[in-house]
Amino acid sequence: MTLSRPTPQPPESGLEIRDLSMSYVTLGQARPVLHGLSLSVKPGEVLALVGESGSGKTTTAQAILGLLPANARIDGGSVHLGQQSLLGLSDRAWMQLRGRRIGLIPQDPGSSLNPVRTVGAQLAEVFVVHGLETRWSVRERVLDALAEVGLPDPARHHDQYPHELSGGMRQRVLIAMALALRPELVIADEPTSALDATVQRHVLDMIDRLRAERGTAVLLVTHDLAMAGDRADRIAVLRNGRLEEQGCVTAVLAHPVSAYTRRLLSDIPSLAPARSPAILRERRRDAAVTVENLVQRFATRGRGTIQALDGVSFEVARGTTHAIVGESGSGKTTAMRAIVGLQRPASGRILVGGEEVTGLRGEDLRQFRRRVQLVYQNPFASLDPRQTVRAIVEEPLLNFDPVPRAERERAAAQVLERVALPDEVWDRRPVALSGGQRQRVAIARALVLKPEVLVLDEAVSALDVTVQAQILRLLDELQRDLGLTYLFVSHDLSVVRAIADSVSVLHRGRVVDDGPAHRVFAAPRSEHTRALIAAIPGGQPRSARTLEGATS
Amino acid sequence: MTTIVLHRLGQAVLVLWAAFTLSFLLVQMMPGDAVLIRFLDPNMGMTPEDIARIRAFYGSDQPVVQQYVFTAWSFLRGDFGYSVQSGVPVWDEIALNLPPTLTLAGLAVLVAGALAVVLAWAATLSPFGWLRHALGALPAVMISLPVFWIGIMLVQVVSFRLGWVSVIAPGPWERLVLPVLTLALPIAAPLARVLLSSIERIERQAFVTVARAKGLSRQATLWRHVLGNAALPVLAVGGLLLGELVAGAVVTETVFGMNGLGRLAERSVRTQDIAVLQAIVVISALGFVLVNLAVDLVSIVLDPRIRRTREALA
Repeated sequence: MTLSRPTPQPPESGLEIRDLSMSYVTLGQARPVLHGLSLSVKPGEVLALVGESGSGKTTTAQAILGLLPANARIDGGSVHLGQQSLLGLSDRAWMQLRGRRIGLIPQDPGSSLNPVRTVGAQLAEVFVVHGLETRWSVRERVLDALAEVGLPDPARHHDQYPHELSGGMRQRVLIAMALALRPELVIADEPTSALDATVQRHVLDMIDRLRAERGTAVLLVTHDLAMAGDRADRIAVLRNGRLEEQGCVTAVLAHPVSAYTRRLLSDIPSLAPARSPAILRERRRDAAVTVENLVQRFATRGRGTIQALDGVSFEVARGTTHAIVGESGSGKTTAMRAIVGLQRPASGRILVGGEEVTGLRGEDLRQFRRRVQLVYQNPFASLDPRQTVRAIVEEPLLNFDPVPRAERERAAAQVLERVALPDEVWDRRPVALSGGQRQRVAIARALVLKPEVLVLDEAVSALDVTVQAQILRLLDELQRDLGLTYLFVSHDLSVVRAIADSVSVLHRGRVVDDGPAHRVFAAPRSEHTRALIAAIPGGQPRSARTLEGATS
Repeated sequence: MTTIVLHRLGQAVLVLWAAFTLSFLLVQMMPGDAVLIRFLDPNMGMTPEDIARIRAFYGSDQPVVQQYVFTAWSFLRGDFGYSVQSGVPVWDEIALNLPPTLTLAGLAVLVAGALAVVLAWAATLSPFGWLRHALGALPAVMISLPVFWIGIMLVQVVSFRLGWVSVIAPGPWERLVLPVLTLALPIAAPLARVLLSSIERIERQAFVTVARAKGLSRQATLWRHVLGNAALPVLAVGGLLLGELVAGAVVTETVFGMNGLGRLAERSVRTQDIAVLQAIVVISALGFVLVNLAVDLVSIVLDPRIRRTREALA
C-alpha cells in the first residue's frame, strides 16, 4: 500500500490479513468499519475473533469470503489465503475458492438451510458445483459426509427437510457442508449461539476434532469471550473496527492489556461471582408464586400425546429471583405460559400472591395480567416498530382503568427514568435504539403497570455480554428498590448463576433438580444438571492445548 | 392429504353457494326485469296479458323465495334455464362463449407469468443500478393502468403506428396477440411486484449466504435456492388474481369486439338476463375455487413445511 514499508511475503499457507481498512458507502457518505486490521490464522490453529455487535467482526468474515454487501469498499491492506490474494478476485475465481478452499459454518442453523429442499440435495451441491461428482454419483459421498459429522441415520436424514431436524442436527449438516471438500480455512461465524448448551458443546467438540485431524485453520467469530477462551489457541479482540488486543488465550485471559478486554472479561456472566445467597436469608418471606404439580399435554397427530409438563412444582419467595432452566423442549416455555395465564394447564395449581390463576377466566384473567408482566427474549421483535418509546410504555395503561393523559405521561416518564433511558430517545422508534436500549424499553413497559411478578423469558440472551451485564445490574437494582419477584426463564446457566436465588432445572417436562442456586451449582443432584454446568463456557480453559500449540 | 382436499372441497361448495345467492339477491334488487327490457318495446305490440304470460313461462311472476329455490334446484341438476334475450338455452350460450374466453385467459396467464419472471429476473440480475431501479419501479406503474386504456393504446401503437399486428382480417393467432397482452399486463404487474419483493426478502436469508459460500454463482443460487422459496407467495397471489382475469375479460372482449364469456356477461347485465348472468357467476366462481384449490395443492408440493403444519392442524 505504501512504498516506505516493504511488503512482506505472503505466507505459505493459512490466512493472513494485513492492514485491512474498509468502509460502507451510503448515499456518497463513507463510514469506516475496519481500521488497519491485521491478523493471521495458521493451519491447525483456532483464532477467535471476539467483538460485540458493530465491532466489524462480521464484515471481516464477509471480506474473507468475498460476500461483502454491495456498498462495502476496501480502502487498503491485503488478505491472503496461502499465496492467493483474496482482494479483487473475479466472480469465477471466487466460485473456485468458496466451498473448496474456504468453508463457512454459519450462525443460525434455523435459517441457514433452504427450507424447501432436502438436506441431502443441499449437501450434494458442494460436490457437484465443484465438479467432483455428478448429480447421480454423489449420493455415497453425501452419506459419508453426514455420517462423519455424527448424524445417527444418514440414509434417512438424506431425504429429510431441514424442519424435520433439530437445531443441533442442522448445525451438523452445515458443518458437513463447510468441511466436505476439506478446505484449508473454515470461518465459524458464531456457530453455536443459537444452540442449547449441551448441543453447543458437542458441536464445538466436533469442529475441534475435525480441525485437529485435518489441520484446518479455523477463524472462530464470536461475541463470547468465555467460549473463545475454551476453544481458541489465540484471541483477537476487535472493537469499533480496531484490533484492541491479540495474543495467545492464556495471556489474553490472564493478563489482558487493553481496558476494553478487561471490561469484557468482567462482564462475562460465567466468570462473574455467583449471586450472594445471603439475600435469601434476610427473613422468611411469603411466597409470591407457588406452582403445584403442573401437568400439560399436547396432542400430536399420529404420535399420541407429548407430555410437556409432568408434575412441575416450585415456590418463589417474594422479592427473590427464581430461574427455570432447561434446553429447548424441556417444558420451560410451557410452564411460563401457564404462569402468566396464557395457557391453561391440564392439571395442577398456580398461585400468584395467594390467588389461584388456573381458574381465572374473562375479565378476572385480564385484570390478573397486570400483576404478572412478561419481558420477552427478542427486543427486536417484541416492540411495535411504528410506536415511539413513550407510546410503547404508555400503552399498557390504556388497557386497564382509564388513566388521564397527563398521568399516563408522568407514569411513563417515571418508569423510563427508572430504567435509565436518556430522555432524548423517548420520542424515537425502536429502529433507532440499540439492543440494550430496546430491552430497557421492554422492561419499562412491563413495569409501568406496577406488577408484583416479572417473568423474564430469555430476557438477556440476545444481548452482547457488556449490555447483558448492564441489564442484569438494572434488574437487580429494580428488584431491590421495588421488591419485585422475578421468574427468570433461561437456557443459559452462566446468567442464571449471576442472577438467581433459587433454580428449577427442567428436563423433558420434569424438575430434575431444584433448590437454592448456590446448592444446585455446587452439588448438582442430577446427571442432566451436571452436563449443563459442564457445558458453561469458561469452565474448562484449554491451557494445555494452547501450550502444545505454541511449541509446535 | 385427503383430509386437506376434503376440507377444501367443503369450502368450495360454500363459496359456490354464496356466489349464487349473492348474485341472485343483487339481480333481484335491480329495478325492472329482463322481460320488460326485451318485450316492452311498443313496436312489438305486446299486450300486458302477453307479457304476463311470458313472465309465467320464465317463472318470474313467482315470489322471490320460490324463484330462488327453483333456480337453485335447477342449477344443481345442471339446468341453467333459458336466456330471455336470445331465447336459447343458457347452456348453448355458455358452450359457444366459454372456449374463446378460456383460450384468451389461459394465454394471458402464461404470458403474465413469463413477463413477471423476466421482469423480476432482469430487475434482480441487471448489472446497472439505474436499470434495476427502473425495472423495479415498473410493476407499480403497470398496476395503475386501466385495462381499457392499455387495450386502446396497444391497438393505436402496435397496429396503427407500427403495423406489426393487423386488426383488419387477422389470422386466428394474430387476432389474439393484442387482447392477450391487454389482459396479461395488469396481471403481470402485481405478480412481478410480489415476486421481486419476495426474491429480495429471500436473498437476505442466511441459507442464501451459505449457498454462495459453497461456491454457487449468484445466478445458480437464484435458480436453485431463491426461486423455489420466492414462488410460494406469488402462487397465492396468482390464485387471487383470477378474479382480475374475469373482470379483465369483460373489458378486453368489449374493447376488441371479441365473442366470449366477458362480453356475454356484459350483455346479460345490461339486459338483466338473470339466467345467463347467474350461470356466468357460478361458472366463474367454480373456476376461481378450482384454481385456488390447485394453487393450494401445488404449494403443498413445493413447500414441505406446509405438509406438516396442515396435517397437524387437520
